[in-house]
Parts: sequence; structure tokens; C-alpha cells
Amino acid sequence: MRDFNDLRRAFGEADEAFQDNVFRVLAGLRTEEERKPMKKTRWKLGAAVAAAVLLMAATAFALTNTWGILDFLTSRRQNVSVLPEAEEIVQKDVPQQGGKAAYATFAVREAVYDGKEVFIALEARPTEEQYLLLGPDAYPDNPVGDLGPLFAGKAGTIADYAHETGKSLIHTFAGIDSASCSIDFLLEEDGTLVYLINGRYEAEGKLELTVDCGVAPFVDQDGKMTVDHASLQRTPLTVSLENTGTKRTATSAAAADFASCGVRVERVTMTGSEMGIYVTIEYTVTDEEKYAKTGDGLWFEFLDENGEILPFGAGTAGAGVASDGKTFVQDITLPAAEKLPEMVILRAFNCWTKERYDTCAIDLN
Amino acid sequence: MTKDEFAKRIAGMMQTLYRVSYAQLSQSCDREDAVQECLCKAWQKRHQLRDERYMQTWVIRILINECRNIQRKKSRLVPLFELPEREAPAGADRELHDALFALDERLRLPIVLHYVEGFSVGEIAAILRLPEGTVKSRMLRGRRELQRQLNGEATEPCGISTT
Repeated sequence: MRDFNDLRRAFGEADEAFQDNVFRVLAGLRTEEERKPMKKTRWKLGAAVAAAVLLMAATAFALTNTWGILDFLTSRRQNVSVLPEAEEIVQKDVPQQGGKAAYATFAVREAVYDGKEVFIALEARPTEEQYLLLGPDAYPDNPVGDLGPLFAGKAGTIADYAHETGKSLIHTFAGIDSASCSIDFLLEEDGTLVYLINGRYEAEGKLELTVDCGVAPFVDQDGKMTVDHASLQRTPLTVSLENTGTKRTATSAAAADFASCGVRVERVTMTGSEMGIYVTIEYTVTDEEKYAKTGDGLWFEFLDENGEILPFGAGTAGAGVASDGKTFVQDITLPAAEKLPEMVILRAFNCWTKERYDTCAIDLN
Repeated sequence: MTKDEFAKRIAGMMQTLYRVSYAQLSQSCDREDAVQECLCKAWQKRHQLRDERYMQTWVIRILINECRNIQRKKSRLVPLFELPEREAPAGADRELHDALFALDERLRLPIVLHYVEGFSVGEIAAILRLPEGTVKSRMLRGRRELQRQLNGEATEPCGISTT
């Protein structure tokens, strides 16, 4: 082999999308003084949760040809189920302020906030017909099909499409409080770019939050279309959301030992709403040696009575360490259900080796 | 640390952030998610960093954790054998790329952190929260496996520093 120091050549340079993402995050950082007081939990699951079925049916899309929150969950994610009553907690007339920028105007079309998770359908309308708005990780050399379902099966790139239609490419981005949100987007027939943004937030009462929005044109730089960061324009959109609340909470009756991986689940908490069942698993290490052997790969999954893994719900997921520094926390969302279970089956596994550890049935109160 | 100072330090780490996230995540959207979470957490917890000289080690530790969180969730959704194979990115040496990414991640990461990013064994042990002996052993196995992959002799230019 060549010199080990050659290994750097195994990687290319950070691509434009990666660098744009870093600069966007850095530009959106806020100091504590700038940040509104709100408890924000970790993580997002990411826009692309893959799997199977869904329960929702008739929604705004069928009637108006515009995309709402439930349309995204129905059509763009799989295996996500919410209760039929979810339609009743969708807020369509959301108080909001701001969102006007040079190339696009941003507005919240719909929102849901159940005290645990916020979902926002955000529309970005071009200020002139010639602008073709792209989402945060859509780039001119991507396939035109990435623009959304209207473009499915079409050949060529986004740049080709813009050239054919005489449009100017505009980069857009949007996020809640600059972080911890899952984002999906698509282009509607009239040129409106619609985002679905969701993230885990816990707050009492109404949720006042800022959606960070922004635009920048693409410019030709040495024959390559790149985002003109010098012209980047941020336009915060402040919104006020009703908290429709969660319906039920259940907590494990007793701790459960997962001896083969050296941990004990101290508590499982489930909170249900129309959008999903939010689950928090708290566990501590009881056997350092066995836990170390998991190589930091310990994860929990829920099983049904047939031993099948339950799918994720519409909300986000994540993992972290509690403020005591000793308790590990895993958050996930399960599909919505009319009732919380009286018992759950929890299995520990190793995400590296796929080794399955103990399975415990845990009663809930 | 002001926002500008933080941003300047992070911008200087751009390629390292890219390579470390690339070493663990094959999908670009996942890498961007991981880096976004990492930067937000690093900024929010910046007061916990006692000595700014160690900022790079600290940020990389956070990034690796975020990458692992994404791997865990993905592992539940997509069996590993269904993940698309990585293709060497533009500008990369395909042979080196393929050999490196044929390694088990637990061997690859210490190799990347040492030979590509220049971290010492002690720093890697702190980043990965592993004993130094484990890091050395994984690097040794990783180097041997790389040699086997590349089907040639390896030169070991700098040995393994333990500082």
C-alpha cells in the first residue's frame, strides 16, 4: 500500500451542499439573550422515515391541490399513522408576522402543536414568476424529480428544467429555531414551495416560536451554479400556535433489568396525542463491563405481541444523557392509538452487530 | 467565545467535519443532519468547554455521537445489507476509498482520526471513549486489513504516537 498518510485522498472535498449547510447553521446560531425561553428536547428523526402503511385519508390536498401537514404524512412518509381526530387539531389560521424576503414570501399554511411536537406546513411563494424556488438541499445538478411529485418520472436536472422554462434558481431554507427539526419540501403547480417542518418541543400553553427562513440566488461561478452567500437574506417568521395538549400519559410500574447488556430501564413514559405516542425510555448502567461491550451501540425497540418491531410514528426521535450525567435517555415516537397500552414489550439490541439482547414485558400504569 | 469566533473556528474545521461524518454515514442528508445537530449542541454547550485549545477534539466527539444516533435509528429501519454501496466522491482516490470503506467502522474511525485528521492515540481514546490500548489494537487491525484490501505492502511513516 501507499503511505498511510495518503488516506486523506480517500475522501473528496466537502461538497457545496455540505458547506452551505454548515454556513447556514452558523449564521442561524443565537445567543441565550436572543433565544426565547423554551424547553427544547434533542433530535429529529430526519425527513426520510421509510416503511409502510397510513391511516389518514381525505385531506386538504384532495380538495384544493395544495399540500398540508396530513398530506405530507400520508403521501411522503410511510408507516406513519395518526388518529382521524388529528384533522381537528390542525390550525389553519395561524397568527404570524414577518417572512418577506427579496425572492420569496414565507407563510405558515397550517400548524399542529400538541405540547410535545410541533408540525408546520410552510409555504414559500416566489415574488416573481421567473423564480424557481429550491429547498435547502436541492441543487441545480440534482434530478428534476427531486422537486416533488409533479416532476416524477421527468428526465434531466433541475438546471435543465430552469433553462427550458427560463427560470432563475433561488435557494431557500427554513427551520425551527435553527435546529432539531425534520424537513421535507416539494414544489406545487403554481411555483409555491411547501415545507413540512416538525420537531420535538415541550412548552406550557401557547407556543411562540420563530421559523428561520431565508433566500439566496444561485449564481454562475466558473461555469457552476452555486449559492451566492453574499446575497443571503434571512427573514424570521414569528408564529403563535395553540397547544391542543396531549391526552393520556402512562408510566412503567417497575424497573426492568436487561442483564445481558448491563443496563436497567428505570422508567418508560408514554404520552399520547392525536399525532402519535411519545415515548421516553430512561436507563442506567448496572454492569459497566457488559455495557462497554455494546460499543456504544445499545438501542431499544418495541415489539408487538407477535414479536414484530413496531414502526415509528409521525414525530421525531433521539437519544442523549439526562442532566444527572448517569441516566441515558432514548426518545421515540410510536404510531398514534386510541388508547395507551397497559403493557409494552421492549427489546434491547446492538445497532452495530444486530445482536439482540434481553426482551422484557413492562407493565404501565 | 463569541458567535463570530465560534463560526470562524468551525469554518476552519469544515473538511474535518466532512471527513469524520463521511467516515460514518453514507448518505449526504444524514451527514448534514449530524453536523447540524453537532454544531447546535456545541454552540449551546460551549460554556462547558474549559479550554478552547481542545475545541476540535470536543466538537469531533459531539459529531461522532450525532452520527451514531443517526446510525442507530437507521439500523432499525434499513437492514445494513440493503444500504446502497458508497461510491467514491468526486476527487477521491477510488482505490483508497473502497479499501477504507471496506473496513468495519470500528477499525476505520481510529485510522481516519489518526492518519487523516492527525489526532494522537490519547485524543482518539478521549473522543471515542475507549481505552488507549483498544484504540491501538483497532488501529493495528485496521492497518493490517487495509494492507490486505490493497494487496500490497504498507509503510508506516509515523508509527503511532501516544502523546
